[in-house]
Amino acid sequence: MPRRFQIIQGPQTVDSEPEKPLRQELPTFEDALLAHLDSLFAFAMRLVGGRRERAEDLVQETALRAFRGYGSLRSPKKTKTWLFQILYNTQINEFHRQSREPTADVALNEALLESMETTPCVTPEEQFFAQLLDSELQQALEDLPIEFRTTIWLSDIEELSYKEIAEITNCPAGTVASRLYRGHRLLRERLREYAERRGLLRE
Amino acid sequence: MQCGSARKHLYRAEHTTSEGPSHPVAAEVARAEEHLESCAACREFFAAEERLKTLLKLRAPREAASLALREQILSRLAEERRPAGASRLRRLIGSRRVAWALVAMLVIAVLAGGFWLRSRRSDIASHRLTSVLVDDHARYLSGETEVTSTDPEIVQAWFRGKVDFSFRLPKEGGLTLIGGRLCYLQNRRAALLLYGPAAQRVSLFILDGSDVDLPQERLVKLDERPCLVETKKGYNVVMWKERGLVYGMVSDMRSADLLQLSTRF
Repeated sequence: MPRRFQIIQGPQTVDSEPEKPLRQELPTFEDALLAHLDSLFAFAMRLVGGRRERAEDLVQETALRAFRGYGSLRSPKKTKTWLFQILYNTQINEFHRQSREPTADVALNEALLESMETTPCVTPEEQFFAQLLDSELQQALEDLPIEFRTTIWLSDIEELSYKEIAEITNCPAGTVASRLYRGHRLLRERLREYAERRGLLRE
Repeated sequence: MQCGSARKHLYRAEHTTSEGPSHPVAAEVARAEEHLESCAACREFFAAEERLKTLLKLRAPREAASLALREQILSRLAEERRPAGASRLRRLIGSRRVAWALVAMLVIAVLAGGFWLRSRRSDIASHRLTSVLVDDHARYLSGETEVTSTDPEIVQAWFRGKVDFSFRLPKEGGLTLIGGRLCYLQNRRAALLLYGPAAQRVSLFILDGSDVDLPQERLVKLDERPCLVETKKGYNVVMWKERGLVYGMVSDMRSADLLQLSTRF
């Protein structure tokens, strides 16, 4: 009981910081948005399969929703994650609902990690990676289920942490790690297919 | 530690370490790192992951937002930022009942405006006409006629074919008919009848009044006939409309007398 009482009195403890009027420290919404607009647009392009008009609609809708909720953002440091989260939710809830095929999430386990493909191939990855066309890479990425595509993009391109990606995609951080690994594996398989088709691999 | 286990801990390292170094899994991560030192397969596993990341970072498409998109967004945000009053007004206008009320008000305003404009125009037109009548009365004051006769029938007959309308003159007008002549009023032929005696000339102008409107608000009724009474340059003018014709009587006699005289026509 005394511990519980102490928790209730939390704000008076030494470790806890007094509440600051963080809202006043936020830059204007336009400044905050424009700082991340290119990243948002590129992410939107990946979510909508490279259709520019759809991506522009999605970013516009995101901007309006974010503007209306800007007051709820507690820290400027979270702006990017917050914007990405709104964009992702807008796409999933509004645009993608009809066509969405949910991907079964599998926990990152030993069996999964040990089953990494070991297809005998004398051509080093660096070599055929270098010969792939940008369009092939883009297509391979867009062929991935949206959860994998999103996780790869946010982790590898935007370099967000698992925790941030978990917030954006509304799933546990452990699931993010699993999606990232499985997404990488699927992507690698696709890239190999492209390379094989074009005779870039020697077995 | 087995390869699978080591890879799992290292793959999730960021997640586990964020829970603090004292977290039980952190110890497993340390052991996994030891495993990695001695396992070439696991090092290749993570090296392959890094290669893919590098490939993506270097060559994945990163389209920038167009200038048009930026401008569109900023413009929509500016619209959102408009004062609450403006958005309240927009919302108000958005409601159907208010929209209908506005439409009704607009229609009334247009009708009222049209009526006012028409009345204003007729006012200006009648003023101009009055001026012309007075000028022509003064011009032909000397009694310069084209048809000279005291007989209204003869004078009427003279105008046939010369003007594009028909009129009848009273036989007993209380005035002495001197004659008549053509004149031009508002770019069309009009009939001018001259009455005497010479000391008190009266001019009666008759013209097609199909496009002449007398200002309704300034008309006075005499024997149920609305008349316009004006004074210009010392002359009094009485105007009225009947059977599509405009009659204008000009004289320097008193306006009451002129009005009385006009009732005979």
